[in-house]
Amino acid sequence: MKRQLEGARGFVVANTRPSTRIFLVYMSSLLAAYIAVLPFKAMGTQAQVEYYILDGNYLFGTASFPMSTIVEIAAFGPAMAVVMSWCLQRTIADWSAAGLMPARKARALELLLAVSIATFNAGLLLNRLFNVVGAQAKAFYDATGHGYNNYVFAYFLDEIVGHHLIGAGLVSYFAVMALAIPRDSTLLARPDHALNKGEKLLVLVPSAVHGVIFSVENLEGQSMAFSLVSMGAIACVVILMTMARRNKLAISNRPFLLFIVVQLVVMLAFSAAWGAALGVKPYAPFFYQPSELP
Amino acid sequence: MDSIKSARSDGGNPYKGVGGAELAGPQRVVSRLVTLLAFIIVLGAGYLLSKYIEGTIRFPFTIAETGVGAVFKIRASDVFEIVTWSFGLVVAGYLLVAVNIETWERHALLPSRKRNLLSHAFVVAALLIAGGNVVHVFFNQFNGMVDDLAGESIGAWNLFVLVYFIDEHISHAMIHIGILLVLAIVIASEPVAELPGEATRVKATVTMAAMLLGFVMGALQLFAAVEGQAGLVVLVGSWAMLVTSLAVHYKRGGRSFDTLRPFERPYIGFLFCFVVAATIAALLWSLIAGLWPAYPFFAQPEEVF
Repeated sequence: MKRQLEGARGFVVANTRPSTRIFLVYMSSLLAAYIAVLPFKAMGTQAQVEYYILDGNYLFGTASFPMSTIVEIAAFGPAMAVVMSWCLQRTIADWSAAGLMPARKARALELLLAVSIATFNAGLLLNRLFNVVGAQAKAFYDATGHGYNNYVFAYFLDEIVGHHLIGAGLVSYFAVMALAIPRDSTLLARPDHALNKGEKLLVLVPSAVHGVIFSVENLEGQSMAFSLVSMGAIACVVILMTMARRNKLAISNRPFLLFIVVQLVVMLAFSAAWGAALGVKPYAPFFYQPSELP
Repeated sequence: MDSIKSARSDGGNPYKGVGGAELAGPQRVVSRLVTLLAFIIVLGAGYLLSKYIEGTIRFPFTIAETGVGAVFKIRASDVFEIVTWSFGLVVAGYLLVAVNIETWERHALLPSRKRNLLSHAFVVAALLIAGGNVVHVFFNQFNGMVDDLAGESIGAWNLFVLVYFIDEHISHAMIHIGILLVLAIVIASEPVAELPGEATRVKATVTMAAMLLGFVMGALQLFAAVEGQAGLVVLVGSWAMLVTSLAVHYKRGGRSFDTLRPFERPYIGFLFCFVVAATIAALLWSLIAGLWPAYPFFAQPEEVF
């Protein structure tokens, strides 16, 4: 098994460029995060903490929370943040070694990365935490008819604020990775910098799959319109920049640029098909959520 | 790209040999302390200025599943706190960390692996500060809403207990761990070995200013943490930083503390005073207000006064 893994690693290292390997690390980590959550979702275990409540209560209470949500927050939060940071640091190191990464640009990218990770995690926490307490608030409102404001408050933070912050954080991270490519990218237009067929497959398939997953998550999170606009804006900037430099090969040669464009195309196609099949609502978020399907 | 790979003999340092005229050592130390002061000012401004902002912001929206219109209301002061703490503090923290990291990179005293590790740690600190603050602001408001109904049924009580736990224990701990992590990154960026003498030596007044800053921040952060039921987190965290720092210097310094030179390492003085002030504040507060029989042990100042 170990030899097989080493063989596979050797094959990947020998046949892919550093930028493709960085992209694959990002994608594999994302896949690992999804897989890590699955057993906890299947088991449905709850984590319980007994603690002392102050503020006029002065007694012990037991807080109960789904384990799958805790693992989800840990896997997509700090663990993915380190992976995202590693991807950017490797990209900066590669280009700076080639003399194509000014120090000021490196600093700006690092700052943007910190802000995008802060935004993504603020959204992730709001979404996951208010999803749990919102379900309880709704159950209480359905049972008693009291606490409608609590339900509305939790609903807004879970569905609208949380998902939009997640989308904004992710899209700004993609923008950071796209901006990390040197301004003078004529180097990338050379045929020897073109991705080979295997690499293109390794980028296109995960990009398309990620596009579908991101579409479903955006539809469920009511942030499809926002993500389409923001992803579209980034894709337009990327395309215009490469066209302005007459560097037509740049997009197909850079995994993260290809990822942005392919993902946008998949999202557009998915939302168009979804809207055509189910119709659209006359108010935001316009699209029906997958959980609304009968 | 192979040529790129082979050219990485400098460890991929993007800052090496760039940046124009370099600041002299003492000036560089002062600029490092100025960024620390800026970080503390943003920290204080987020808390103090939000008290003077009044008004409510309303967001009308439609509940997608039912098509019913609803309004989400949030205090303007909370929005200000989110902007200053969640994002202002991340930017101020980045400047603090970046200036310190660059200082040692310019002296070729920071290996690229350590630099990368510190950069990864900073993004974790950023998500702890921003995430913790956003969760605190919204769960604090939500806690006040569910508190009114807590006595109606066991379901309502369980909801209150969960919301209170996330608001008071999780979110405050995240913010304080994030802030301590930023300080830990700054201190860890300093090389343990001999420093380049004159290039990093500072005047006694600068070291004294750093120590005073540490003393003030230690006491204030302890009280802020006690109010947020995370006093123990700040105490244990800051002591862990100090003990680790001393242990590393003792081990790397040939079983002596010779490398701990306060006029070359004002941050060590800052940390020492931070820990002393936090400990004194905790002891005094526990004498004044007493201790609870279980975690968080310390009484909250707002409950006492």
